[in-house]
Amino acid sequence: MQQLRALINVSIQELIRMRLWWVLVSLCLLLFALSFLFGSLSFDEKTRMLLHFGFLGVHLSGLGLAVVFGSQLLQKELDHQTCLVVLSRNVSREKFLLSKALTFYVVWGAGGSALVIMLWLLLGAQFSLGKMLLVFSGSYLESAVIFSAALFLSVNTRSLIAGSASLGIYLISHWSQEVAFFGEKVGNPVLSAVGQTSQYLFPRLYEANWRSIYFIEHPISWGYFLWTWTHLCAWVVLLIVASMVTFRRRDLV
Amino acid sequence: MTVLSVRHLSKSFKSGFFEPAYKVLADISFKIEKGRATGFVGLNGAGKTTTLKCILGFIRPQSGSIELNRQSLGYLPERPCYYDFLTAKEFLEFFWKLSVDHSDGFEKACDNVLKEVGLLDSKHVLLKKFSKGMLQRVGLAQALIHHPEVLILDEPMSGLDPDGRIRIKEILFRQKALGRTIFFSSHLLSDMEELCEDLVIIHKGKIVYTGSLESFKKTESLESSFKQLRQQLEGRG
Repeated sequence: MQQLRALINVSIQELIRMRLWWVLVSLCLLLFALSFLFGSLSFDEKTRMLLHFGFLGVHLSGLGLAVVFGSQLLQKELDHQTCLVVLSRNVSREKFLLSKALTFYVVWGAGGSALVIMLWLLLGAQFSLGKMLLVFSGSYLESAVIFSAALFLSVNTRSLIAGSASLGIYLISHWSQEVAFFGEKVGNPVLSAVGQTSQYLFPRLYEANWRSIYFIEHPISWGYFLWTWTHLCAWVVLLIVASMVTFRRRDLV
Repeated sequence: MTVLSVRHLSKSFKSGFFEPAYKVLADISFKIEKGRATGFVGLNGAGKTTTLKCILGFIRPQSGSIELNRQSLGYLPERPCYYDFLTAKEFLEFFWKLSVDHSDGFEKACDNVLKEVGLLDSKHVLLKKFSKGMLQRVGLAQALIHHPEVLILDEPMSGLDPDGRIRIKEILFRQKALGRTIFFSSHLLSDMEELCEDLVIIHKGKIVYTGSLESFKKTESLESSFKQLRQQLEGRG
């Protein structure tokens, strides 16, 4: 446990010192500010605009972090060979990889929640904070899945490919339902089959898309919430275990 | 007493999917005895770093076995690349936590090891401000902080200026006097001659000599003995 704590501690320091972290947090705050600007243009939809822009900022920051850190955290260690000294110390490769994953989950969990609390305060605390955090949990899960996918890909390929491919997974996972729906509507069986199959081959990220004022005014049922969490957590576990298995077999030349 | 035993180790790499595999290590075997300093010599591309990486578990050999107590091991890599956002103390604390179950005694161990490598004044300096020689020494400090029985060093003196080399040599001499087992690769035969008692020579992935340094060089210098061996091997084709 002490080894894992030490590894996470160093990884957190590394992540926080990366310029990109601050760029994405600034981007999110910029979107908060823009939401106020756009919100002031509307009389009826001000709150809706503020909330949607705010959650969009948080979501995009999470996605950016997941793609970049997922594809770089481990790859950087392999490229610079900083991991060699660590792995010579009776630290298993599984533990090393797990520390990288936990670092992202912890940092984005804390950072994202802080941004949501900031948004809640900016909105004058007119909504329930619990409901807003519930909405954020969907976005958080999406980021966790994309991070795990990028990490898995980075064990097997270069970071640029891993980052691009994980972004592709994100898009497919969001559009698969719509592709199937569109295929059915236009009567195209191939398109429909592609949409249906992708829903089984890729995580169903669209199920966690709760970033709307609708879900704050009409919260999702606990059953649906639990199903989504179980489904996406299973994907996270699957991807991390797959990363561990492939990382254990990889030669660190 | 043997602390490291390598038996019939073989490793091949493939450069491309359709390329045939080329053998880097071909059935190598050798032993390292406790408390002795052993040099690992070979030309560039002979397989030194691959052998060390196999021993440390970074590369999986195709066949063969390695016996080594990994609990008590200190390793210095060829390229000193570390977490440069940490200070020397934070860096050593990190490796202390990876190696020792408790945090007691770290402060004393940290000061002792930094004093040993001559970096006590730079205890709170970020590693990114360190020169190559200082990085090499702090790398050696992380290898020593948990008082390991065995030290495995990959080219510990490569790329250092004369002063840096002398400092590293002095540290290794002191470690040797403390009874630590040292196994290191190097191109610098003169340093090896001063430091080592035993020698393992690798050529094109095969062990061509393993034994004491004295019996290898006999009356000549290590450099001329090594030159002779190389000519013999090249003559053999």
